[in-house]
Amino acid sequence: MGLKRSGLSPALAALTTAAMTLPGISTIVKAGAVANEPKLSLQYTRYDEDSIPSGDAAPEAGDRDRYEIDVAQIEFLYPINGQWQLTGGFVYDDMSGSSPWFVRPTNADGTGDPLVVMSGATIDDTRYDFSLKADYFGEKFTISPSIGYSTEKDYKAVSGGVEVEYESPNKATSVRGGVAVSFDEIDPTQLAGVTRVNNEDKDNFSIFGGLTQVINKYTVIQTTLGVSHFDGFLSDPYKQVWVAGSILPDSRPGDRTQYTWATRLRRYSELLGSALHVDYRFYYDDWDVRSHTLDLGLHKVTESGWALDTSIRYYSQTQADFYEPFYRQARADGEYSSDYRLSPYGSFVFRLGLSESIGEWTVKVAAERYISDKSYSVQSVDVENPALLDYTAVTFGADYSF
Amino acid sequence: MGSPCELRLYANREQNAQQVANEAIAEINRLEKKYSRYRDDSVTTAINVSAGKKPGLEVDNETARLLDYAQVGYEQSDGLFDITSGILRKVWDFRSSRIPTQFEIEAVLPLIGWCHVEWVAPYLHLPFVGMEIDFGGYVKEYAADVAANICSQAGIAGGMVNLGGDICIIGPHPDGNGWKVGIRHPRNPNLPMSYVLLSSGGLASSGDYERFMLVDGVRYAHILNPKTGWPVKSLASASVYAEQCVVAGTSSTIAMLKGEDKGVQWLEDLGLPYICMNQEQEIYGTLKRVEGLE
Repeated sequence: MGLKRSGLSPALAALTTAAMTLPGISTIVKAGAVANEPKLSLQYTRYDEDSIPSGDAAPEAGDRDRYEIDVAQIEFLYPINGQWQLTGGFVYDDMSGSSPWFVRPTNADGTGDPLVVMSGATIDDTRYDFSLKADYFGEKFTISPSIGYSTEKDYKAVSGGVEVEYESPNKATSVRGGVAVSFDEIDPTQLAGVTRVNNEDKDNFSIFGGLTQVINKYTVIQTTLGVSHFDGFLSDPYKQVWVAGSILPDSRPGDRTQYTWATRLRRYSELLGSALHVDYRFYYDDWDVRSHTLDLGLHKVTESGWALDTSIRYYSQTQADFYEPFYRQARADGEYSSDYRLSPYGSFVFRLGLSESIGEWTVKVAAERYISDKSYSVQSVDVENPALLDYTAVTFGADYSF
Repeated sequence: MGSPCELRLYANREQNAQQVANEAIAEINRLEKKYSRYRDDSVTTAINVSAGKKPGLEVDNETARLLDYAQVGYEQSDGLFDITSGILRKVWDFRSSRIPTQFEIEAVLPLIGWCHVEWVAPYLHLPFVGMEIDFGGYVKEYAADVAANICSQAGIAGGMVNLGGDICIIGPHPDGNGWKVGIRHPRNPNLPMSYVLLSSGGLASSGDYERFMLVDGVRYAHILNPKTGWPVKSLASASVYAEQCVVAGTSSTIAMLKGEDKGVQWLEDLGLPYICMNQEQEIYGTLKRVEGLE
């Protein structure tokens, strides 16, 4: 028994709109609502990167085992009063393994397939990341300033930002925008016989704006545009390149501007009893990397109380204009990188998560498998970077509401 | 809530249904406590006690949104839906069989009028000592919506909430059939005047049967015009269907306050399905009725 949608009377529209702003009636739009209770979230993730296949590694490659990363996260959300809320976060990463060092051709004359040479010794590093975010829920605006600090053996970063969200009086439309800055400092661990930089830094400035529209009870759409500019040392000090028989440091341009446009659609299907997610993101930067990301997901709460999350993400990117797996000739601009992250490729992520609420606790478990390959790319790729990544991640988490 | 209430849910496990039901009932109880005018610790009492005192009272977000809703109801009904009119019950005692004098009514009329209230969220100021507001005209319907919503959010696909005749459907029976809901006969409370089949949304009724007195053969019901202080000669009952029970309730209340002809016109203009009975006990409206007996 639907309502006559066409020619909705002004009185009914006014009453319905006022009703939809009553807390507890509007279900989809939760923005601008301060949490009632403090909440503690704990999460542990284990990433296991697949070893480099022996056929892709140079004979002198060294240890072909890539990183194993343990990530532990704690987040604490504390509502101070009806208008302020604080969220504090701490992340601890521990990584160990080898990483791709450079790529060389099979033959010294620059012919044959590219082969990876790994970093000689096992790398062990630990990262600590602290963040603090405040949310102020005003009459019409939500304002959220945040700060962060991250440190590891050879790296330090401070960051800060502010986001503002405006919600229309009927809560059907919200407009969001924000700016963020970060200042990073790198002081690479030196290795005898290898040329590495000392004490470099990079700055980042990002700005974004977006719109969320509730189409109806079942459908929400969000679209966001963002620009991010990096300035400073943007190379990887631990990577090198093969240039006409010589090994030179990874050397990228000193600035990079990235543009993103992301659109997310959420639709609840009564038939399936599930929420469907369709997310698309287009990315472009002035290094000529273009990428498309399509994420399809399904969120279902079963009648027995389990919540099931499953998704597939597809990604495809073009290469940076100065990227080569190896260089037969030196480049006039001196820009070199054989980093697989700047190479042309495509990837898939398959993800499955389950959660259940037990009293005040919500426990979660999730697994994801990431695979990348030149053949997954939208456009055809001639030479695949042999260091492309595949990994498996498993996450355990628990939330406690006080 | 002072009237029979029921909550019916379908779930795979009884324990799950019970847990969800407990949450929904706790929320209904919370709203009743919070907005009861009989409790010393309610928000309603705090507001009414603050009447006449500057600068008024700062209210919480939920109360603010309910006041906003009342304002919209007031504006859309040309001042008939007025949460300051509850004070009329002090002069209209429907158990007494006594009609108040015009003098008595006029004594309280100056205390009525949402237009006198200074409402700039989150600050509410009732300017006159003795002025009162009453959320009773729509908080029960709101509670039905909230309870149904809690159940939906917890994954309950089929069920209904009935708070003393204000109904909010969570979803149909597992076989996909709607809930058969009886609409009370205004002159015979034990016999439904008709049935409707609902799979979603809210249904609320308002009528002259809830509180009334017969004096010299004339029926005086609690449908009181806030501007005159006198009962409105109106429909015997109006039941309205809307996506939200609170909208259904406000719409039926306003229809009753407008009197028969204007009330029916109001419902027609809203475009909401309705069913009503007039004083001649004729049943009409656009809400589709179904056969009563299986």
